[in-house]
Amino acid sequence: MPPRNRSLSLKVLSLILFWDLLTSVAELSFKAGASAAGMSDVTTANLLEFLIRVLSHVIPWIGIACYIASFLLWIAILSRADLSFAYPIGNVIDYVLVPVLSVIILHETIPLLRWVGIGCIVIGVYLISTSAAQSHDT
Amino acid sequence: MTLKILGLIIFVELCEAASHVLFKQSVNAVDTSSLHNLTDYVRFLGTVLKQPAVWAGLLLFTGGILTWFVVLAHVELSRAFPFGSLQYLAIILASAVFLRERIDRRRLVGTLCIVLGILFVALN
Repeated sequence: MPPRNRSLSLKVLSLILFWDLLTSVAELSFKAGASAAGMSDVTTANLLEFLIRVLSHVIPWIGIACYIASFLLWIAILSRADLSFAYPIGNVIDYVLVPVLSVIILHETIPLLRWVGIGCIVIGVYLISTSAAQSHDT
Repeated sequence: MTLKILGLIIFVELCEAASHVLFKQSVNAVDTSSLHNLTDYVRFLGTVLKQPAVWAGLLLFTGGILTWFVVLAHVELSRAFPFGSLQYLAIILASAVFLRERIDRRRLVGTLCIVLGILFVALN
């Protein structure tokens, strides 16, 4: 089925990719913050201590700012697209961009079967992105 | 990976999926037909933030992230990776059942491709 409103989909699509980038930056800064806290054994018991240590660094606050911005953007996206459209497209950077960048920048080698997986994901995103963004398009 | 950690991972994935459904439900409860400029959107965001469901979603999302920290302290990220595909299944199911979105074949096949792809990536 062809998309009923291609220009709408394209606009929504670029917003979704930007959202994905924002959340990836947020996650990266959390990871950096978590390792800066230098606690190897986090349990439910010392979670609070861990959080206080993490939040005493500046980097995680960048992540929190990105998260707040990405939440507001996400709400705007959901006003224009189905969840079953936006969600799968908006969460692929981790699976596609990160491995591809690790090949280009870090010269890591990726096993063949993993390329097959990346290919599947790209095809999946293509299929979803060419379905109509909203089931209730007017 | 112990059963407890496995349970925590599934808990995190389902928390996040549920929070997205609650976000979308909050948006659906608000009229979105007349959003043209930034002022409209700011007003719209204000209305969405008055929905209790959006706060329930944020609570679940935060709970999920905090639990994730505990998980990552016990298992390597790469071992928790394949369970990410669970969320795609949960989201498409919940979109159809709770949000009444019409899932055409293209979207269904696309989602299944992504799930399959993640498993391939994660297991290699």
